[in-house]
Amino acid sequence: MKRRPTAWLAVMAAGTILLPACANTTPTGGETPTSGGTLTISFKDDLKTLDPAIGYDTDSWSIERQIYNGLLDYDGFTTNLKADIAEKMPVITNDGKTYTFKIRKGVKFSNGREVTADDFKYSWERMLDPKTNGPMTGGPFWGVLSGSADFFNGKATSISGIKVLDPNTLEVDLDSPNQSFLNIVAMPFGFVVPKEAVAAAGTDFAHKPMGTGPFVLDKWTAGQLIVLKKNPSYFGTKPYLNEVDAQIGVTPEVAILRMQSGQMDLPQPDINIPSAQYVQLSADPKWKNRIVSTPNVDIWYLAMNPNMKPFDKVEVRKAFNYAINKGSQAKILAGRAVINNGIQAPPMPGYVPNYNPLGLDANGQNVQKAKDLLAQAGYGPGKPFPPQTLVYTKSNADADREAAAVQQDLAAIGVTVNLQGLAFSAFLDVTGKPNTTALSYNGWIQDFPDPSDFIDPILTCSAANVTANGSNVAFYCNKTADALADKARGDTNGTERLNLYKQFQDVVAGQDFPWVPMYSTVEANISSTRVHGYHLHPVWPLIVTSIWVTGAAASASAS
Amino acid sequence: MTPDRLAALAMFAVLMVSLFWLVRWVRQSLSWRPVWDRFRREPLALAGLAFILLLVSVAILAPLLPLRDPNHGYYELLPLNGRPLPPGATFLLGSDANGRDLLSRTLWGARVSLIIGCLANFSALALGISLGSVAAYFGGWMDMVLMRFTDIMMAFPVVLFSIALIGILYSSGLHGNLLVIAAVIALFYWTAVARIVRAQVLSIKEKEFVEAARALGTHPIRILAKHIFPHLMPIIIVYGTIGIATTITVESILSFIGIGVQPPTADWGVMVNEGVTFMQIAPWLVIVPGLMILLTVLAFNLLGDGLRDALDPRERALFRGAIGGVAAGGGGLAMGQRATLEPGVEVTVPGTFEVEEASG
Repeated sequence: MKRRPTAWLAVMAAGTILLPACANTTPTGGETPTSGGTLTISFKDDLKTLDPAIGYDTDSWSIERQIYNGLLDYDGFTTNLKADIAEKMPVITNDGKTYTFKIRKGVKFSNGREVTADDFKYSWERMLDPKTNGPMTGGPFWGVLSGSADFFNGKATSISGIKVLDPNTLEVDLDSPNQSFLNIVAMPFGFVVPKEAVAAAGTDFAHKPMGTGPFVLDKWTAGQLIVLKKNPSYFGTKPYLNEVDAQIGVTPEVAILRMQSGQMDLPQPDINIPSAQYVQLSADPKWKNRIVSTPNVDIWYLAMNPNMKPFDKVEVRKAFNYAINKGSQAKILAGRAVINNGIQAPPMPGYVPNYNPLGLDANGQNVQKAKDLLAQAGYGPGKPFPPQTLVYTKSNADADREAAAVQQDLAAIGVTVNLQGLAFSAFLDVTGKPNTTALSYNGWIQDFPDPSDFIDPILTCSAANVTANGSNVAFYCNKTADALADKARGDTNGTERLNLYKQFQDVVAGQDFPWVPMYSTVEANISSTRVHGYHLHPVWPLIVTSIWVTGAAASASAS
Repeated sequence: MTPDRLAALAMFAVLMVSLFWLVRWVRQSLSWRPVWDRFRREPLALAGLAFILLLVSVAILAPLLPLRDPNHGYYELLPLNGRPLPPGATFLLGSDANGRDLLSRTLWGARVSLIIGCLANFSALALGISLGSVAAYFGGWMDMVLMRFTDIMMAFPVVLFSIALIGILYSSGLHGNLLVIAAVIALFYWTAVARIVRAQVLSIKEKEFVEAARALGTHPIRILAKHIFPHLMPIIIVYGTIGIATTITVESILSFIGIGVQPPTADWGVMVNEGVTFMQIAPWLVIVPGLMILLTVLAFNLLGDGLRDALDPRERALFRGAIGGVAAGGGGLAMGQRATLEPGVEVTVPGTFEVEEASG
């Protein structure tokens, strides 16, 4: 996921570690699922859109996932891909550059029309069309499609790499092999939408969505309520619930209070329980068993721009790596963080447990070394370190405290830091402009569970070579490291590929130090006692199809 | 001894010496002695005074007290889940979720609240007295303009306007500056003072001694300063005291909603704000600073009430219970000026005769 302010969710990739203390499943006590009923959830802010070509935030994805399907999806609550609207996994030929998908027969949009290969060609081209103006326009992830460059610059009216061979066969050609292409296909940007519904909605498909999913949008009262109703013509296993009500304008804190008084089932599913309430609920015998938690696929770090003084000196960047008490950061998050000295998150393939190239202590620190390095860089009583500004986003409740703790740690090595907390959009603007921000507090949350997603968008030269909206916020570029990433991207040998990514990590976290990696978070969510079968998904912010409810309806909401 | 410790000690010494001389002077002064005697018999006012003196002393002496750094987070002392420590041996009043010492923050917070409260209050008094007396004394269009301006300022909702004002200042980096916050509060509070001063001056300026001064060709500014201002002393004393309660309240409100003093500065409003999210697991984070605001405001109000009663026993007899505060306006007043031209100044229980004249 792009640089999202609030911690997102994710479990483990197959075969990697799961924290022993964490359970990603609500205890169900062996009850049998029952059908019917309404689930009440909440969001703090109104959703920006329900158009899968536009939405690139966890709020939108929480609902989009219930309305649409793509060719592929994740199997159950794992990170393994399986066929969804595709009949089976695609046939890959031409050295990993051609993918052939067979479309399952009998999949219908909620208007009753059957889905064909043409719908996918239409949906994907619409999603990439500069006129749609979605976040994928111009090349992120999908730029690997043959002919996409011509399509983006207007030389072609369609993408030559997307071919409809017959109504049930879709062929996709890539310019170069890409091991994460199937993950890309499974992102919401790959969801299929019906052409006629888009046309009928005019410019407002964002509020009049139509797809093939288990639910359909029944009502959306702006700023108040979203109502989803069960889709009778859904091709997959039917959901247990008849209805999902999303109350809008409810802060996570209030949502949890409402849950405790029986007026809410699932407080905002894509946001971690606020720290103070987590400490309280996890000590409360009535509620502690209702908490589900799992490691997030994310990394939180300080970015230091090596092109800007005083961070042009590697000693300075290294000194900062010794200075930060990552244990304090974890305590601020109510203990829901794992100290991380590398660049990959624990559940990700390629993560090295206990990675510690600098020999840091349990808090991720060595204050004496930090002071020594600053002295080596020429700073001392005669030449104080120039005051720095730490830019961070205030959009989550703990941000001020996290930044203050960093400020305190740096003060201990003689570095004065001023704090500049910004709203998320302003933060993205400032940190995304080349060489504007020297020091910033960042988080990166996965788009899909592949290690390339933690390197290509945030640590490569091409990601640094932008004029605005950059996501390589350190504007770090090392040609040698870049070569490793290029080689790994299409490498079909899994072990060798992961090794290349590990080498990349050694360059970043053991040699160049554009970051101070700090921690990866643990997601914790809670549901009311009515809710059964609620699990956290490694990629999706919310899966509703496994949930059933018992007892009296929770909500006092208008529906 | 570091400079801030020395400064603290010096300030404390100056405060103590001036208090000593003030009390001494009051007890010796013919016209103030009765006020002092009445004040001494007000137990609530004395309690308020004692609390304020204690608070002021602690605030001044904070750098000298054996306290932890109010802004340092002792994360190493917190449990792994970051739960704030309850009051106990490690932290006497407990810690907040950043591992900061609540006792230390509360006492250092007294500094910020008192500085802003006093600054705002005294600037408001200065502004209110000048504008109010000028408007009343000169009357006519000047009165019209100044008082309508006062009305307009009074019509603004204080908090909303402060939000807008501080929002404008935000980009200039001036938000959170103690002087700016004091100025914003003063900008609203002076209106109340101006109205009451005007009402007072309107009645005083009709007095014979003012007319006599005018007849002698005394410059109006001199009349205001030398002949009228001394009669305003009771109001100034009472308003100067109760006003601090008001300005501290407003300061805490602004800081609580995030537009006053900025974190991590230790300030009671900021502390309540930071504590609210933890209220269910660490109620002391809200109770301690909240109680300090309550007690301080109460103390200043009690002291102000006591002073008013002491300065004007007649009004107490007439109005006590019916009217809170000093807002009785044109009535009770006055004593204290050591006579320049006024007739009848030889009265040794000042205040009474003025009341009679005003109401007669």
